[in-house]
Amino acid sequence: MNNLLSLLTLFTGVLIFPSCASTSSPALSAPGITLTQLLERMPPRDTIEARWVYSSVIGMGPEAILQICSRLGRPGTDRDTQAEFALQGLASYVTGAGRGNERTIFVGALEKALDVVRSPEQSAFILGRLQIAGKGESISLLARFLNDERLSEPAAQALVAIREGAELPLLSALPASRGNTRITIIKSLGDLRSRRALDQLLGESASDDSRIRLAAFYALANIGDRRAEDVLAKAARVAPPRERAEVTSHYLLFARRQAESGNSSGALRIGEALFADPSAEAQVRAAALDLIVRSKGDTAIDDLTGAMADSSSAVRSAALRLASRIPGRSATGRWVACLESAGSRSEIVSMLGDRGDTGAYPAVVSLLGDTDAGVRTSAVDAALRLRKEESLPVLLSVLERSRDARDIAAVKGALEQLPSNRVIPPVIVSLSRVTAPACVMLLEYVGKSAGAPAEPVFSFAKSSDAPVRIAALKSLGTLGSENDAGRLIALLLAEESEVGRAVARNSLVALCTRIPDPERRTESLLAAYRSATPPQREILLHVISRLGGRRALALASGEARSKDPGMRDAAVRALADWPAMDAFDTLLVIAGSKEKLNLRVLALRGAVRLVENAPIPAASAVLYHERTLALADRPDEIRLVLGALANLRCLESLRDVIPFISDDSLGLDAAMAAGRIASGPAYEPASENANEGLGSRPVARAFIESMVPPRFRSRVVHNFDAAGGMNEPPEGFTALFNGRNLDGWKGLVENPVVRAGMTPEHLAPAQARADSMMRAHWSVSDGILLFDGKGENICTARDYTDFEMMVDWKIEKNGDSGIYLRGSPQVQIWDPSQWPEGSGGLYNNQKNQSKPLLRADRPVGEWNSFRIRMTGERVTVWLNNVMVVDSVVLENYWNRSIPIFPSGQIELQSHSSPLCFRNIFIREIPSRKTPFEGSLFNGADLTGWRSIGGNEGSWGVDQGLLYTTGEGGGWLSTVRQYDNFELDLDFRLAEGGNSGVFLRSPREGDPAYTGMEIQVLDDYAAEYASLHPWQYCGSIYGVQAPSLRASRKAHEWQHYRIVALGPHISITLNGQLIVDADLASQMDKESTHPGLKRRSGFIGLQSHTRRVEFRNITLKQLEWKEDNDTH
Amino acid sequence: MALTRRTFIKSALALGAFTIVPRRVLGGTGYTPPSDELTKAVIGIGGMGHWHLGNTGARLVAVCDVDEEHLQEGMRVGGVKGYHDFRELLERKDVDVVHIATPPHWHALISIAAAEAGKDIWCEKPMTRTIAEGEHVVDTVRAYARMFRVNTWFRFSGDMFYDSGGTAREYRKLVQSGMLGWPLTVTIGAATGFNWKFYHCGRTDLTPRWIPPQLDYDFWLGPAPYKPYHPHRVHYTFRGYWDYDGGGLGDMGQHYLDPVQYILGKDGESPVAVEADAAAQHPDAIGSFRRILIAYADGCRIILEGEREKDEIPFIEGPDGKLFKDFRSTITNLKEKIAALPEPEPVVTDFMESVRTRRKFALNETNAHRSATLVNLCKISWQLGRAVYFDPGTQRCINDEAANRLIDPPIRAPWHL
Repeated sequence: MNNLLSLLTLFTGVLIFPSCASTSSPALSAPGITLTQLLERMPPRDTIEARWVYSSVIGMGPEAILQICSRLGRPGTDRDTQAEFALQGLASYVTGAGRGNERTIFVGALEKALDVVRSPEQSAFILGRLQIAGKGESISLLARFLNDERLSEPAAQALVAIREGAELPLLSALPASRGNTRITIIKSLGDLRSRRALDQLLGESASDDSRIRLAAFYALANIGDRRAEDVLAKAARVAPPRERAEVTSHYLLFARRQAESGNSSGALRIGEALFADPSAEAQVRAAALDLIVRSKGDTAIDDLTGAMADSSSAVRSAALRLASRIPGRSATGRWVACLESAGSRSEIVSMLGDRGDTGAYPAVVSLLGDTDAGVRTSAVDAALRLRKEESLPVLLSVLERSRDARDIAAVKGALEQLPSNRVIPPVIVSLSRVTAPACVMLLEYVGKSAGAPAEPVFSFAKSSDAPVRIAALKSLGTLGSENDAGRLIALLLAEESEVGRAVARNSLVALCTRIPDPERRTESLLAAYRSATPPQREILLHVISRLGGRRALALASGEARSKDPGMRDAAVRALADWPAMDAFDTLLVIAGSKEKLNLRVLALRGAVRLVENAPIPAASAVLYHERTLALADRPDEIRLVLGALANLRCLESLRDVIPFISDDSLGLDAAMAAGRIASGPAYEPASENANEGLGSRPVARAFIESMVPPRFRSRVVHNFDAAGGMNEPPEGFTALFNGRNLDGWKGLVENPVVRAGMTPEHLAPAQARADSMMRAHWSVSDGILLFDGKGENICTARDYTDFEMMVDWKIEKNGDSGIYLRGSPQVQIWDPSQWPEGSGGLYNNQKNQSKPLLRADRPVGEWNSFRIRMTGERVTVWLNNVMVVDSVVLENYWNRSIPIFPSGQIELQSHSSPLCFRNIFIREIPSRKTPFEGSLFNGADLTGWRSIGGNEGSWGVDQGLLYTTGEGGGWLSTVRQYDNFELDLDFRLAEGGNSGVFLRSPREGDPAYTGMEIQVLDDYAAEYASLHPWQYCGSIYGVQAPSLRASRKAHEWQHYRIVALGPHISITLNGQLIVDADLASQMDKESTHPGLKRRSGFIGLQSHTRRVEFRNITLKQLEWKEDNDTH
Repeated sequence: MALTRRTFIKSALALGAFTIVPRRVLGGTGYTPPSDELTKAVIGIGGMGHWHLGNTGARLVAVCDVDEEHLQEGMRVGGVKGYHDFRELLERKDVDVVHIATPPHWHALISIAAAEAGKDIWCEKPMTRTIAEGEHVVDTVRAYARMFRVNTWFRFSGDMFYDSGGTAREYRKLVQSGMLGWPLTVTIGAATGFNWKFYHCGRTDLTPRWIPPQLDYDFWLGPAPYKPYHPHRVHYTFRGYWDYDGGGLGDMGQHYLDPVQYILGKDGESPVAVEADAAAQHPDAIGSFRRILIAYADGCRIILEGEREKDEIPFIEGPDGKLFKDFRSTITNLKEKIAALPEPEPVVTDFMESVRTRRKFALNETNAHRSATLVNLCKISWQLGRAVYFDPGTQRCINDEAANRLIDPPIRAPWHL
């Protein structure tokens, strides 16, 4: 360990090593520090502080630890968190080396604490710390919790963690355990591999309960005692389909345990039986093969090679993977022999490569010329892996006979895995021997190795085979030196193919660019230029222009004034592509000359491009563009410069653009450019781009709106908006339309009245048809919701009650549309030139105002914005920020005799004209409806109630009392469902009477579990003397016992007040609060008692055995909001 | 009836429907299936699950989630069947590949069950939550001859290895060439291009809440200890709790460490010591760390740097050279030198190719278990607040029973490894 420590201490941080600083004495504790002060230091910030804090706490003795435990159990409080930190830290601390005494003190205190703490949460926490720090001394204590439904799991886990001595208590707890507890104990005995548990587990494996049976199979398998074999073998055979994979895996686990414990013959028997089973799945047979290899060792080679004839490819591949388990030359020989027979040869060759046994090399090499390409490529790979560099000659020899792309790729892959300095010499020798496609590959390979010699490659650059020649020309770009430039120029000038010339040019540029002095880069080219023919000069000029430099520029500028038009053309093209700004002036001169138009335009474009690519500040770039702009006279040219200016987001560019806005033909381009400049990134003083952009988006938008002439405004504003911020809801609103697709929308099915009458079976297909209709005619493009003028309204997926919404809309000439609120027409949209009163009115109103207060429309073709607020029956509409409807009642179009529906979907109306919508946002306004308050029972009949699952006649009303005879079974349910409420009722029981009040129940299953039951019972009857506390009157049945007995004797009237408020249930019986429960902390019972998480349901009365009477059943609905503390 | 063009097309289509049967039995390269189409199922349709629903080279036929809302999300693709219980999904014979995008406390159990059911497995990172879980996954996947991949990319994809400036392949070539000398120290932190996501911290102030009706919370917890429900424990924020994951380390650890393990050539071994420098940890809610040191027997070290974001720290440092973020180095012309070095052995980088050819995927159960072990070992030192010493042979800690209890902790019945 010393080496290791010195290694670790190299680390530059401030790490403390426990074994270096082994002073773990409690003497570290500082006198005068209180426990509270120590707890306030939780969590300690590093190991030094932790050691000090924890040793101090232990130094204070067990009392201190008890005190910490007592702080547990108030989740979410500082006290609780500090205690949890402290106990966890202590548990880890005391398990450190050399802390045996401290551990004993700590564990002793935890055990005491378990006697003192009250809640199961506290106990569970402490048991968890024993799982870290406990040892044999805690076993008997942990055993006490094994049959506690809520604590058996943590107790069993602690026992399994401790291991030593844990099996006996688990074994003794097994007979009395039930349900989940039993499964926990069985599984834990399996984890512990307890042989003593064998007999009992064999008994459990015959249980009727499949969960217990499966747990027992696992345990028996993991224990791996031979006596369990028959049971597991049978289970694997007869398991129902659902359990088959699991039980079979247990059987295989059992067999592996057999192999581990030396019973290889037993394991082998199982493996062979499963492998031979034709009904077994392929993966099971693969696992069986694995088992055979485990138990047979090297002699399993026959099984593996034999498996290569198996019809299942999964089994064959499993055999090949298992091959590595049997090493050695003789096994290699068997595999090589396998290659003789057909099937999976390629995979066998790959495997031989993986094995790394060079004994296979001759066989692998012999397959390099196989007829099967897959085998050949595997052989290339395997040869490389077996012999590395030594395989090079045979790999290269493959290239001498093969033109097959697969072989060439395989050899290429192999070459790349070897050091290039070792590969290059033999490859260069091979170049002249290999087939043409292989030669191309090798030339490319050589070209990637910067150190390779260029000389041998030159001869291939003259090859008559074009791909070979081009590959050589390409390689010379990396391999050639300054001295090779002349030869490469000659090759370029001699090259006939266009592709070849392009490659040669690139290679020349690459080669020359490596010359350090920029002015010398064009030296060879300029020399060649002087003696070249005019056509050759054009070719050379192209290369020269890409290299740039003073002398090159002088040459190009001169040639641009040449008398030869072809030369001039080539020179201007070269200048237009110049790599540096120094050609700018020359280009402007050409642009302003009397040269041919196409060349002047070329020069102007070149000038603009140079500036765009130059690394200069935006303001200087504007100055250059201004010079170009001054020369531009045709609209196309001006447009080009305006486009360049649009990308420079500064005031200078804006100033240049603005004058063109009033121009007839350029106005739109200028306006678009202005919009683009103004929509630049927001001004951020801190950012490096402080000079870019003109301000915040609203300011910029206002600016362009005011500046741009009306005829361009809408396009410019659209351009601006497309740059961001579209369909993003303002604070407090959510987007109904996401700008990308139709999520959140559905097609229209009938009107609300007809729809309400449709059954789900009819509605679903109708909705599906409507949705496909919607998708046919409504679409999304560029963040805009488009309607093609055919089809039906589009509707929000859900209903809304009171809300405020926003929507931008745009229509064409004579266009007509509207916004339906709660499924009803409508806030009007139409062409104001046709209907001069304008949009926004509640068009279908007959009694109330239907016209807007004034016309606030923008002209057709421009975007308009609605803000619509609907609360209750009243609607207010703002159009383009002008109020046009002031709190007017919207009438019910579908049924004029009733008010507007209380809620419904929002629809965008189709009206045979194309429409655009965007920025559709909604904010729901919480409704102020008064909750139900009053009597659930009218004293005369069963109005408002319905009998569920029992005999109808057993419920009745008699003299103002609601009663059950108790003979009909079932229960009586309210017609409505309730979520949060205060329920008051009186009840009277006969002797031994039994009933219950169901809360939030569905009408399926046993409402005591699918919902929950407040027990109504004659507690005093002798027959109920031995009930659990959580079964007595006033309990939430099976969940929470009453805190005291407040029930009265039979025949007396008793009063319940039951408050259900979210997860909080309180029960007051006869004036005494006996239950105040938080269901959220009872959710571990949720799997057996799913009703605990229901939020609403029916209220019910149970008919159980004898007559029970009820009266004065009143209910008041309450408001409950889940708090927002869920971040 | 005369065979018109239209009826001909119709009958040809009908014929096609009968002849193109999805491939159910996987074959090796020599096997030509009637149709090459592979099918997949996704288990866990939360944050990462959505990614797995997309195109991975196999057709989605089934989804599974214990949250009804998530399940409905997953079933929006046509022809996809939804399951609440993954065991029912695994009974289907027509699923080739199972994607596991649940929180990590489920990865091992579902991987094992999927392997036993004959499925190939595409599992989210971190591969498993404990070292013992990883051992079981490796054993089962091997025994049942399944293909397995962990869903991180940087080991083999051509893209950059996070923000380090190079690819794992380039770093590996450099490291294996010995140019930097030996042993090496690799630092993973913001300064070298890797950001630990410490926003995945747990909360210690959780008061019990009502379980939402659409969530089967007990099933969601599965093997994890029962704790009262709070929304912060589950979707998207579960990483902040030891019961389900490992905070920012759990989220990013395997992403970052797996390629480093490959670069250092440590796919076949494990470290000998790990020490975390951090504030003491809460038993439930995960906090942050300042630094975690991983040391190998040959002197190579990996430092998980949770602070020192702005300092100039080398990503890889050896006796003969340093390599910083953005591939800056003390060695000149490094990129060119690396280009001339031999390529690493090729690996299968398309999981569907693995599934078809039965050749192991680049990041498979074996090397992924090694890199998950790095993460899980770091978590142990971090949780215990002390250095832990590890025996790479037995894969257990030396003289530290509490650490070994964290290597192989019991899980909640009826679940078992």
